[in-house]
Amino acid sequence: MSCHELSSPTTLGNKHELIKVAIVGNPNVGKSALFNKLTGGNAWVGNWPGVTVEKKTGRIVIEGHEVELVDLPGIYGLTPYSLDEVIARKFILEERPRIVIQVINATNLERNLYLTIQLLEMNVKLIIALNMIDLAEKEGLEIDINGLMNQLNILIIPTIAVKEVGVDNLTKAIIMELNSPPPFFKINYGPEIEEAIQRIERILDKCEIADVGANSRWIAIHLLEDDKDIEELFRKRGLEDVLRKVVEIKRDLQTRLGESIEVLMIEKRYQYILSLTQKYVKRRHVKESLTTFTDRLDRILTHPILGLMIFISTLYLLFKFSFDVASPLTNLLDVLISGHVHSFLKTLPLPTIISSLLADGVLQGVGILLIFIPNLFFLFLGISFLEDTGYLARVTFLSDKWMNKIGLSGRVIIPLLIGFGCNVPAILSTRVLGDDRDRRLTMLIIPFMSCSARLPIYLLFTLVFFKENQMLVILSIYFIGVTTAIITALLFNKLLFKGQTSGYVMDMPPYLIPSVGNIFAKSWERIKSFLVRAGSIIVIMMVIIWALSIFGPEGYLGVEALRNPDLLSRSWIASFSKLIEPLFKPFNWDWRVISSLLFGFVAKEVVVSSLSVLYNVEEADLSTVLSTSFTPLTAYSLMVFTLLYTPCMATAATLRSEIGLKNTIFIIIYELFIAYIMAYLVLSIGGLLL
Amino acid sequence: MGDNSADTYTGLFPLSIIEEGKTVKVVKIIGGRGLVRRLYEIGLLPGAEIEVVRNSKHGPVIIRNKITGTFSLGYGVAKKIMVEVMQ
Amino acid sequence: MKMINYYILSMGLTYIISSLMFILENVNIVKTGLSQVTPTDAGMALYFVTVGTLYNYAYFKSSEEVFGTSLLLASIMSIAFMFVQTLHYSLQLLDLIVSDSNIEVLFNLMRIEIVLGILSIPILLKERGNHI
Ligand SMILES: Nc1nc2c(ncn2[C@@H]2O[C@H](COP(=O)(O)OP(=O)(O)O)[C@@H](O)[C@H]2O)c(=O)[nH]1
Repeated sequence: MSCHELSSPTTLGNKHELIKVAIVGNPNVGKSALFNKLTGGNAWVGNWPGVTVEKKTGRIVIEGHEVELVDLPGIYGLTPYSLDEVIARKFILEERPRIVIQVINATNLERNLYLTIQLLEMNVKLIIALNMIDLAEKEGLEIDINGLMNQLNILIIPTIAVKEVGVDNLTKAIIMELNSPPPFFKINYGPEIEEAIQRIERILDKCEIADVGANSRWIAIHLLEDDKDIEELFRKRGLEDVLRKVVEIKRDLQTRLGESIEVLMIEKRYQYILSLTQKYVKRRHVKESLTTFTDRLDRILTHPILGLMIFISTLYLLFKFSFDVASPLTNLLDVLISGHVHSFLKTLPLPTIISSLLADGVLQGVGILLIFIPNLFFLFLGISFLEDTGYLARVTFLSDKWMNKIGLSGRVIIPLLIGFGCNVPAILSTRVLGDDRDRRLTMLIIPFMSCSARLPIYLLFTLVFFKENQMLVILSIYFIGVTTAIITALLFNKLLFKGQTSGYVMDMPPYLIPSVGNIFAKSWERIKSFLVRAGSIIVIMMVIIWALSIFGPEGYLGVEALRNPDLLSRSWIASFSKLIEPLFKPFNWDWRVISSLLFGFVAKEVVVSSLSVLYNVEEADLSTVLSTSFTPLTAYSLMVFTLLYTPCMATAATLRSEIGLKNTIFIIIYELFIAYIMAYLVLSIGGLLL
Repeated sequence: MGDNSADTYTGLFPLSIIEEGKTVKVVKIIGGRGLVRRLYEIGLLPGAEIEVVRNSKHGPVIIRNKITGTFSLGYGVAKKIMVEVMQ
Repeated sequence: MKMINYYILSMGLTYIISSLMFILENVNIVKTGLSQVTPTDAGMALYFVTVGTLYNYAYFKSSEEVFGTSLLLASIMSIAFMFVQTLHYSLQLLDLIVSDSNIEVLFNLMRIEIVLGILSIPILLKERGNHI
């Protein structure tokens, strides 16, 4: 087989075949909104094989054809830069979707068309969803869609994703395109470059690369542009001699042009795009366009002082929203689960060990999960809202200067913010960071962001020991968390992650009024990823802990152990806690505290409920017991310890899936170590002061 | 010329030190391939004219390219873009 | 035209004075005892300062273009805060049904940030008309 054109011959009209359709586009073009509308919200979120970037797919049936839609990460061009982009390109090249839909932001045709050109050069069957035409109209843009369609020889469907306009036409277009031949498209790069392309193509024709997924002109173009992935591919197949010949051709061309080949080729593409837009796009003058409106808002929102004040205020409101609004709902859920459902399970006519397994193990685990949901949901609602207005892009800008001081880029601020809600989605959200170094460093410090699960512990202890200044003391704990994160970042900058962050390149989208549906869909997606990842682990761990509490070195203790501290003190958990008790000598914590910290590894809020079991009191009476066995100082050092000591089970599992077991264990050990030191520092410094 | 501030800029400067409101011409980008390529693709080619919309000095910048639109560049990126100030 | 300017000025000043009172109370200079009209914590005080600054900025720079933008932002922030607080206190009322917290929560619905938020609605409506 020699180097044939494009993919396998398309089998026509087979209605049972699954048709793969990829959706691509620049960031912020409304891709996810359109994807949700196309799939009717029935997306399935999984992982790309081998890497942990989310893969969103959805199946729909159009006129009897089963179509699988795959949402690819947002990209600017086909040269990969971040993990996301590598995946998008790989998918198009290797999995060869039958059709690619590119979502285009109609208000910014020039930038979006660059990707179009690259896709067309690959000869993929392309449909363009010309999205945000409502905004384009407001901007005074008149786009001659028919003209553009004829010129490029592809289907262009105008859409307004948030209002579901044009979605039907888009699905019809998929069917129409199925049986049409792939487009032929060529940009003239000028005589010198064209000649070089032809020379490379002639070399390529003699080798077996038909399965690369693109035509030889495309490969030749990418070889000219120093595409490292393609070069790697050739090397893997032992085609070094081809590469050598290409290098010669390039050197030849370089001397003739006297300028960077790559730059010239990109310039040619932009020149072509400009010739298109000059011909098919007319600009009417409008009084106040989105651009001028956005500019005026940005004058204040990115202002060094006012902008920062607004940012901090917004942050404050975001957390107020997620905590205050959720707390009544959390209370309700708590009463419902640990009260009603719990006692209901206990009354079921089941063997005690089974009903205890259900009520004290499984339900306890499910309860922990459910109680987080209101809080997380409101936080995600807030973040998705800010994201969709376009404000988060400004937040990145505002914080870059500060994050740079600890060797990170401004993009890191968003994962860190999410971390205050829950560390699990925070770690997942680091995927968009282009830079691997930034990503690892961020994951290392996310667990120091005090998540909402730790708040009940602070509330309990501050209520007992710091009634006067409760808010202030809790705030100081958060502050210690952030400070530890900063110190850690600085430290690891020096030790492990040498050098500086490579920074970020980010689109500044215009300010928009977000669509409610889109925000809810996004928040739900994030909650789902938390439930899927954390859910099973928390429930399973709860069951394991349950088992370790009712069994001990002597054997089965009976389910009463969970309510009876004497029995419980003979359980495995207690034995282990007693074993490591000497380690915590300086803190004066007895085995019960240590046991509850062990429980807390599952989910930190469990510390409170297990303390009440271990001291054999109702949660309401816990304060009296605590006030006798702690001093304010030891209580404070315990709070610091619980803040820092280890990421919870769900976070650890997420870390493992993102950066591997070895790194996760390292993080856990490091954080235990830091927690120990900080708690000790609190004790000794406090001891000196008091 | 009469414009003092323009005189203070002759030759090549990193984008990170250019004052807000100035229009500059990209001369070259120093950096890893991935980054350079990314910047090229969003229109920051050598020779391209861009406007500095915001510059927080030793921090990130916001720039506008007439063709490709508005972007925010982290400090780490901005100091790698060498530019010439246009009169 | 003049009327509306005074309206804006008094909104801005109310926010600023309210947060000043918070500071005074917290460094124990005066005890006003007017907890309904002062922020409840430092974060909220900062929020008040920000909104107040935006309103005042709008008033003092009324000849310039930033005027409208500043006003728009101030009213949005003011209303957003009202929204969050109203939701919070209403849900607390709901909590009353199942637990026995006290009825004082009702008075919270008359707190200053909620009143000022409502007073900002006309400004937002007017500015929105001018902008988008
Ligand atoms: N006016 C308008 N807004 C849109 C349209 N499509 C998407 N949006 C908004 O654009 C923003 C970005 O959309 P999103 O789907 O998150 O973009 P993505 O980054 O490409 O996935 C959101 O605020 C959407 O509500 C549209 O056709 N018209």
